[in-house]
Amino acid sequence: MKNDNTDKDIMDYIDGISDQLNSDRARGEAKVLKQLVSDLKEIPLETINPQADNRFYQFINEKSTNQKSVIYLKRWLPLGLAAASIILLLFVFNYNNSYEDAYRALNSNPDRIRYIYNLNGTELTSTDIDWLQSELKNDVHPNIKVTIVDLLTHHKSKLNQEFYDNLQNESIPSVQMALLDIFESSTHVAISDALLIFSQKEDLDASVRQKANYILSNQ
Amino acid sequence: MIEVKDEILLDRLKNGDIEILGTLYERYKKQIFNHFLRCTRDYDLSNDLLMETFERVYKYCHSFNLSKKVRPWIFQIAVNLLKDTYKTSNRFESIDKTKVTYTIEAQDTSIDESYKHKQLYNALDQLDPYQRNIISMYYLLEMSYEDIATTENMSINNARIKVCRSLKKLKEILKDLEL
Repeated sequence: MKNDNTDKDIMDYIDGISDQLNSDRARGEAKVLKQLVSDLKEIPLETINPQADNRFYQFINEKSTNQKSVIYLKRWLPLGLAAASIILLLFVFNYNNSYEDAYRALNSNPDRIRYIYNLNGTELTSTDIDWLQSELKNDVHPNIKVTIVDLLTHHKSKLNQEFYDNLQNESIPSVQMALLDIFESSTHVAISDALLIFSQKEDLDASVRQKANYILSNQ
Repeated sequence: MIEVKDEILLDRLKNGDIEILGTLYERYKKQIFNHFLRCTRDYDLSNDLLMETFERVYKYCHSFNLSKKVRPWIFQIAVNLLKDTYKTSNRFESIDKTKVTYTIEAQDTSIDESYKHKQLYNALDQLDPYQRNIISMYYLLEMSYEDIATTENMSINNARIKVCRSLKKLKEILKDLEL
């Protein structure tokens, strides 16, 4: 403990903080050590190999380049993405230049049903109607067919004979019922004949037949 | 010319101005390199450690608390790096005499000085790595006892005592060399 205190006092003496040393021996030792520290400080410093400096500045350059790349990316990436999005949209818009093309680009039935449903309230050309009638004829998914029929209900004036012929070929009761809804509210000349033939089919669902007969009786 | 404070430089470094690292490097490279050289006496290794010190400064500058001083922080990185190197290698238990070179004679102004410096080098070589390190932190890096204490995980008073005892040991070795 005494030695510890002496060591602390010696360092205080060397550091020029205090010269309170409790013995001549400690004072003598402190002076020698102070000179030793002074000698150590006078040892010339070795210079660094220029290659080491080059290596360091190469490191800075690499980091700086990387940083600039990141800054460049951060600055231009959003613009690039925006431009790419616009190009993509233009491409999609040009590619899907008709409802039919856009519809064909969809992969799932729920997406297709949603797409057809969203066409409600949209102005449809006769080409669009023909396409929808064709889908109604060829698609096998009942919900898609019913959605198409619901859509076509708003475009009865544009429906042609081929549409009314669908009734004879349709075998899904839910679709048959949807078609009959159109027949019920339509004044097309072909309806009566089509309904009559349809109502005489042997494999009709009872409720479908009942509805067909009901419409016929009110014609 | 007024020198920009380290803390301002580090703030700029934190904000992405990588070129600032070069200013800090120029300020402290000589002291840090010579600390490594006097502790390891290996020129190539000292260059590597110097490089790695500033790589660490760059890597950890974002976590540096700007209310603290930069200089001791950089020196602590250097000292800790050296300690890590000690831990992973036994090569510093004693200086490899074949690697020791004394290349600063040209800078010495007289034969007496040159002889004195050689003797000091020889005496430093005979200290254990821990004492070499602690003496170098004191006289070369001029770290405060507080910073030495933090680096060595000890009390400030203990740091003062360790420096004193290492100096005493060095003095004894020098005495033996003179006999």
